[in-house]
Amino acid sequence: MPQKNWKCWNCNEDSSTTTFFCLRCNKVQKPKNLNIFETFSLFPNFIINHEEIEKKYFSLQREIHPDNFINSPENEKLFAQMHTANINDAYKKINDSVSRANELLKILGFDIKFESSTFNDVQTLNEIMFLQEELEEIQNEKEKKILQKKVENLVKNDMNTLIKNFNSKKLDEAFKTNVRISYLKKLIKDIDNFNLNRNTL
Amino acid sequence: MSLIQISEPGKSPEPHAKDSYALGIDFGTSNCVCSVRIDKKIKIVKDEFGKGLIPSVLYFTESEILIGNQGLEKINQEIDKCIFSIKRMFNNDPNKIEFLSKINKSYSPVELATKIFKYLKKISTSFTKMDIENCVITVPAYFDDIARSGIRKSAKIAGFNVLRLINEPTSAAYAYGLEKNKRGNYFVYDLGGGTFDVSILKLNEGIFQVVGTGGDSRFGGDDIDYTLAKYLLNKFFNLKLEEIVDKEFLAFIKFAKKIKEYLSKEDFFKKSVFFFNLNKTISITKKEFNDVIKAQIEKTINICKDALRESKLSLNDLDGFILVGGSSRISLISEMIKKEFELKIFSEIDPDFAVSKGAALHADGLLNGSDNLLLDIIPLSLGIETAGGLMEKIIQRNSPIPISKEQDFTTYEDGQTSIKINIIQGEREIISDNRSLGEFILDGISPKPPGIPRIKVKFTVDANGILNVSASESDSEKTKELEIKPHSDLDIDEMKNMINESIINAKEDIKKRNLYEAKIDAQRLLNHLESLNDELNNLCSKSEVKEINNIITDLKNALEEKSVEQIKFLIEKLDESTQSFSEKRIKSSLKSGLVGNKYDNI
Repeated sequence: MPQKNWKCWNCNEDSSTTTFFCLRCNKVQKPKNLNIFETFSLFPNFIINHEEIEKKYFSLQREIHPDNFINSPENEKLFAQMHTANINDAYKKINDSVSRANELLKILGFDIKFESSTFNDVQTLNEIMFLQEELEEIQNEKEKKILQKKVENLVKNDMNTLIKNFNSKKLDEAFKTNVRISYLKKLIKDIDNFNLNRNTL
Repeated sequence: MSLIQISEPGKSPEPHAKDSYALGIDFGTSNCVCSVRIDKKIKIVKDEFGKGLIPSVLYFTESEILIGNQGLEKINQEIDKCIFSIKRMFNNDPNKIEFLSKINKSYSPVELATKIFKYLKKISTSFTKMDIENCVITVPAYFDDIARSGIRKSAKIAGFNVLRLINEPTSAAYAYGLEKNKRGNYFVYDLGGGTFDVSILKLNEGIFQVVGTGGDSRFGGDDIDYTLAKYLLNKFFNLKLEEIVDKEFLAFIKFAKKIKEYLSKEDFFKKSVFFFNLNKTISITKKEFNDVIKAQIEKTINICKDALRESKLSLNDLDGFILVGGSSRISLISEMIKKEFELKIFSEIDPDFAVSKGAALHADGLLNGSDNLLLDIIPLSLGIETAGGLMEKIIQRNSPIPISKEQDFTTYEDGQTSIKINIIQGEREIISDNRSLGEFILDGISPKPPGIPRIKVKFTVDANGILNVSASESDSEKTKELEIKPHSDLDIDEMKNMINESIINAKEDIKKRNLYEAKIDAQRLLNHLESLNDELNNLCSKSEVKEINNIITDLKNALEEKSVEQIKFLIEKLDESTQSFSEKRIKSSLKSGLVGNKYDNI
């Protein structure tokens, strides 16, 4: 994707190759629209190394966190805040498999918005509905654990499928698998909360 | 009323050195503590009595206001002329001026807090011999946006340059990380006078990261005193709370507080006392005391468990509990933590001073550079009101700050030029259970058919945990910034004036605010009717239209004249005269209302 011509707001130096600071005058630059992989200087790939990303996350924060700019002019403070907000957002997205897959699909040119509005995989929707019913019939902790394990295993299988989908560039399939995973993950949360409600009653 | 500082010759405060120092201020419900890092050491600021713990008490005498330890001796006799626990008032509207019957005067929480901040500044100046303006102020993690803004505003008006607000448990953990070199994952259990907070932190080399929070901004050590006082009252005096006067009960609560503190160390308390015109010997064992407060402590333990579950860490990952806040000395707390979590407990840094010390360390790091970084999170979710009084969360709790989220809105009606957005903070589904941070009115939207305008509203939470809202309307060609009007808020300068004038002009201030609010209501109604002009002409008879238009003209004139009564009267009149129009509109099955409709839900 060709970037538009970036110039430092302070000294007019070309700043298209730098993320945070002007190479000449060292002032904080206005954030560019980076995708989540670019934010962490990674090649777009579904498989990531969480530890490596955490390290990178901390080192980015060290560079650009607003605490470092407490004595700087207002616009630099604001840019630092925007950078950090973007990094925090990207960190959350890249660590969550569902949003990571969606971002990757977008980068690969898949029209997520359109496909989401027309998603109609009857088989998946039916399966989720059945699982939902199973959840409502849970009587005790043991049954809850069994269902949780079951759904977790489904997610595990789907994750393997998703990786294969991405490897073979079957974006349609990858999208469908990812939607399924997102439903299942939501269900796991519901199972957790189900437990919580009972405890507080 | 500023004090003139006169220094001895040769001992004058250095004019510039003060800019490289910053205070850490723990503005507590019961006590305040200020500290500052000088020559690589943290010094607790002492007041004129040599004390570091400054009671957050304002004592109103005939002629002056005594703060902190100043009024301490007199407090016992005239406890009813003292204002306590003003920090708790920040759970309500901090700017709202209220009549305090105790002292027969009207103040807002911000005004009262400003007086305390001014006093803290004064004692810090005489202690350090420097007029230090920079500071980091700690707030309960569970304080919401309004309370945070209120605290910051109070300190600013008192003349402080507030570098940062940080969460109290985070601050305490910072002190442990730096002073005691703690590394690993820790619970910070912070039971102050008026609030309870728990945070979970990962203390790595140079990076202190908050990964979870929980708490109750309306529960603190004061509540334990209260519970104990009620119990003793019933047991030894056979009295109920309602049967005694305020003054006597306040003195009795102070007595209960002493017993609580005593039983934190000893196993048995016994003393003859004179209360409510009766001589009694009060005796209570630690076990009895524990039974009385058990339910309350259990509540805090459950909040810790919830915080752990949400943090996605398991108990095995945790290395210990750090205890902070005066009331964390209660021995039942340590007992229950050991039983429930089987973790080590740390309280090497005096729980009364840990929070302020951490703030001083952070303040020094901010000003003079530091190898350590604090990554904090927002403890309460932020969202907006959607149809049916429900809350749509936009920023989830426990998200790292700063953070920005965008939400798209569109219009409901043809030619609609403004949208009202009600911003909510809290965790409950129903908005009335959460706190409204205010209604924002987006104005200046280009008139278009309903559903066509695309309004992007950006919610940004800064590193202080304070929300900023900006909005823009994007067209195919251009992006236009929209004006955002807070529904009722005053800026700092306005507040400063208000504080200076308020003692004489309390009534005037209320009038001003009423006028401001009436004007907004009127303007909203006028905008609404203007957007419906065509329908009005279609649906109503000529005489009806004429009557309505006359009132509209009157109302517009009244807005110029600044009479609240007149504006309110005309709003009502306009409401009445448009009644039949409204009915006709409903009949023609049109949806009414100015409330913006969510565009989509990505």
